[in-house]
Amino acid sequence: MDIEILDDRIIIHCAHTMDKNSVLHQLSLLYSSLDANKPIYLACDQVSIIDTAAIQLLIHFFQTADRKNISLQWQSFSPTLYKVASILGAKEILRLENMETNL
Amino acid sequence: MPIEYSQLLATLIEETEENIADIDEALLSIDLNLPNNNEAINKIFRAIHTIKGNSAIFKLESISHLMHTAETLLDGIRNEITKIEKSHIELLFEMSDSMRTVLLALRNKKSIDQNGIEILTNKFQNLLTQMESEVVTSRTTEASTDAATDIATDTDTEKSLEKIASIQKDILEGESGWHIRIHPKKDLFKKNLDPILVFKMLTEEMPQTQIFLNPSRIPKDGYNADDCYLSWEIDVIGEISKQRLLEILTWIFDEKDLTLTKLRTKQKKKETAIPTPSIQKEVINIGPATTLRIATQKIDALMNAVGELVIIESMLKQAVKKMDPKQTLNLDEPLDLFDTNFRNLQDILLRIRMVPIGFAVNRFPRMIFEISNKMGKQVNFVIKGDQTEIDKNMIEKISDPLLHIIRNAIDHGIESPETREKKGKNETGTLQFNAFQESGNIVIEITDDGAGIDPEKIKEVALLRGLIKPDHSYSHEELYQLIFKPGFSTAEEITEYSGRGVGLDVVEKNIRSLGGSVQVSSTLGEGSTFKIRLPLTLAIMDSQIISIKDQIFAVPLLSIIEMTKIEVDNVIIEHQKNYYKYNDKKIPIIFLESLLYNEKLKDPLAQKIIIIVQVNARHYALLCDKLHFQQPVVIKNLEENFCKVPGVIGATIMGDGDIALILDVQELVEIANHLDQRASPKVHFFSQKFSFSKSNHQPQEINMPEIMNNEYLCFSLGRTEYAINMEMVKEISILKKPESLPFTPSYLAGVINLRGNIVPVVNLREFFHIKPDSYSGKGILIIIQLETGEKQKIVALLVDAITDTQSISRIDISPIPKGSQLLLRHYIQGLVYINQRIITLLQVENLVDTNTCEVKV
Repeated sequence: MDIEILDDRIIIHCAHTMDKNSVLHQLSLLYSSLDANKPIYLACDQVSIIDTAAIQLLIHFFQTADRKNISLQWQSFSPTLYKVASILGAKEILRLENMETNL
Repeated sequence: MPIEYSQLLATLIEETEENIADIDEALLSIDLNLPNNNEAINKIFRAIHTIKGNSAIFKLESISHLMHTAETLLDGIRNEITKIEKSHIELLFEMSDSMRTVLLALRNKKSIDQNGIEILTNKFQNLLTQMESEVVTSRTTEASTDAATDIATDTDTEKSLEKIASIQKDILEGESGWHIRIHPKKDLFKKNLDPILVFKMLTEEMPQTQIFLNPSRIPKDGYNADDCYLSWEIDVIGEISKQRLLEILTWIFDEKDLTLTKLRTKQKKKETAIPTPSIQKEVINIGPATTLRIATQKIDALMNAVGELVIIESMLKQAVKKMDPKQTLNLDEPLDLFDTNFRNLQDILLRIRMVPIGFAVNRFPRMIFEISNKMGKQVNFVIKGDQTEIDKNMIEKISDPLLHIIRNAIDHGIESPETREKKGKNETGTLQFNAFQESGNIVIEITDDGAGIDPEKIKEVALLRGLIKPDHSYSHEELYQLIFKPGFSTAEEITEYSGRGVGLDVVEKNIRSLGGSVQVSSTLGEGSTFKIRLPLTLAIMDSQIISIKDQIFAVPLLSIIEMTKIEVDNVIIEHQKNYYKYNDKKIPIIFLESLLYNEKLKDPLAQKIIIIVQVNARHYALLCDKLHFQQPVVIKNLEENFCKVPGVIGATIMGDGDIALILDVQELVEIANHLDQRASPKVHFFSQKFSFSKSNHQPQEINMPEIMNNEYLCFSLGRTEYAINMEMVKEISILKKPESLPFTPSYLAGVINLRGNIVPVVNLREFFHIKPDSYSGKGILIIIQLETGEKQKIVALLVDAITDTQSISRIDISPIPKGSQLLLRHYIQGLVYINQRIITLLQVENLVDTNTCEVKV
């Protein structure tokens, strides 16, 4: 997972694998991005492996961003991420609903 | 702990087998004359639906598609779009047959016949097309809904029918389903559990399932990425049992974390509805599960562990016996308590392995239906005692023999309706299956009210084949037993099902391999009964411990009728054969010492013990040296590391660690009878194939790189030095006295107990005919491990002494000189010259080929 800080926004490039073994590292990176107080875009089109622990982390990240009034939205997401979120019933919470066209 | 794919697949196979049996049973219960067969159709639908879901999880898409097509047809029948017809039943039977083949392929890790599945799917598809045209026709006569008009224009048959079914269902019944609340424990992720799989499974099986994640438990602060804070609310729309839901969900979730609520909505639910499901709610509290599916291997492992305890207990008792009684006073009570509790534990464990015999019988009605139909016979199959419990391992082995007997009964026993009518019998014959427990055994009786067996006909055939003597009188029971002889058949007509005389001998052999017996009784013109007697379990056998010469043997109590000291006056010699007077009859005496050791009787007859046994309705007197005690013995399979040994069921390890062979009384009697008819009684039953395969006598390519060194263990046999690849050597041990095996070549010194493993010992001196031939009683055992297919077998090689180890590369190995014996070349990899020593490298795989061992009488 990489964080790209631009003048007007932050782009978080998700790693190929987002699973319980990597979430701790991802958690700290995600939180550091919130401190910049800039709109955040998630670029997750490279995600090919993702588990429930990572989905939970993303939900927590959305919730925290909301609480801090920081705009958080998807720049891109992979079919795998979309599918897993659908299976877990997390599409709405992760604001992926009606976004099939972005795939 | 993550669930392994193979475990899941095994569960899938097992469940699918049960579902197929359900389908067959329900198909057989369908009566086309009835106005509806809803119960049966629903049962078939549910089974197909489950198979569909399970196959989808395992990516068996063709199967899932086949099931889906079949399901659509059934849905049409359920919703009265079409009526069930004979062609539907036949196709569904074809489907269950095909599924059995698929399961067999899956079990054997082979590929599925995709072409066959596709053909079958197309057959269903054709029926669906036919059904659609019926729908369109009938629709024109009805004042139908707009929805139905849409459907009629839909070119996708399957979808149309689904829509029709769905709309009709919604209108007539409203939807039903379950609301599930899942609150997993925080440690879900720590246990490496992920719900994705089960949710996927659920949605594939129940496509209308709606899953809603509830994130409210995620803390604002103190978020721990290792903890699971998520919970779920799930609406499962459609028909699915609570049991099935639990089966799916408890793969990941603890049952206590689930709440299932039955839904019965009166109105159609909107697809986007928020989960507020209850119009009528029936909250079901999930108590502890009443059943638990456990892999049989785990139970077997537990059984083995308890088996070891039997041996340890026996060791303890022997040790205590040897102690001063004053010192053991305090031990008596705890030992007795241990004994009682231990028996209790054994009992419980045995009961865990017991399953109703109904599992084996389930598929019979289907087969009976098919055979009787094809043969133009009418058969009423009656099942009694299907709840009688039998060892799970035994059920798998008894199914085929039972099926064979039933097949024979229909084919040769039950007459055609016309013949029955002429005989004044009911046109429909009766075939009864009855199972019950009797004196600690399982008894299965298969009775038909057919033509019965003609003993005179059997006698005629048996005389022609030289199986009986013309001057001897035989009881009907003895004659009936002849039908179990290989190739014996009195059938005048060979049919697709029986009459070739192939099979009943295998049936009898299989039953005997389970420690059981089969007996026939019959009344000409009235019918026959096959009575099968089986032990309760395969793992432990109640036995009488005896000794012959100095060797200990176990004789299954099931075979024994009486044991007594010999009364020499009762020994009768007629035509150079020995008989014993027993209950005013003379019965053949079998001298076990002569039979097992090929030796003449040494001790006086008066010191011997007589064991009366019954084999094939005849009594025999087995002669042994001593009776010791009775005890349950744990059966160890000789085939584990070796091969089937004639006259021996297996082996057991006694309290002092010694091995006792468990005698197969019936086989011993057969061998004795066989030897009786031969001019030369000296015989062993292993062909030379035990040691080598004649088709493979060419020296093999040495499979090692040119330069890389391999470690070899060198040993001596007489003055010659040999070596084997160290990779095969498991350990080296000082020779323990092997227990000899009957009817085996002399180079097999016997078997030893290697920490609970029964391991054969190959005397290499004997094998290579190195003088002196006789077994010296001294030496070293090299324990080697051989890969034989998927299994590993352990064999001990008896050598004189270990000399050293050598690192040898291929380049050092010289080929064996031309002109050497071809057989010798087969066992030898090559020769190595090191420090003026000549070492012969052995090709151990060819030396002891435990895969190709054959037993020939």
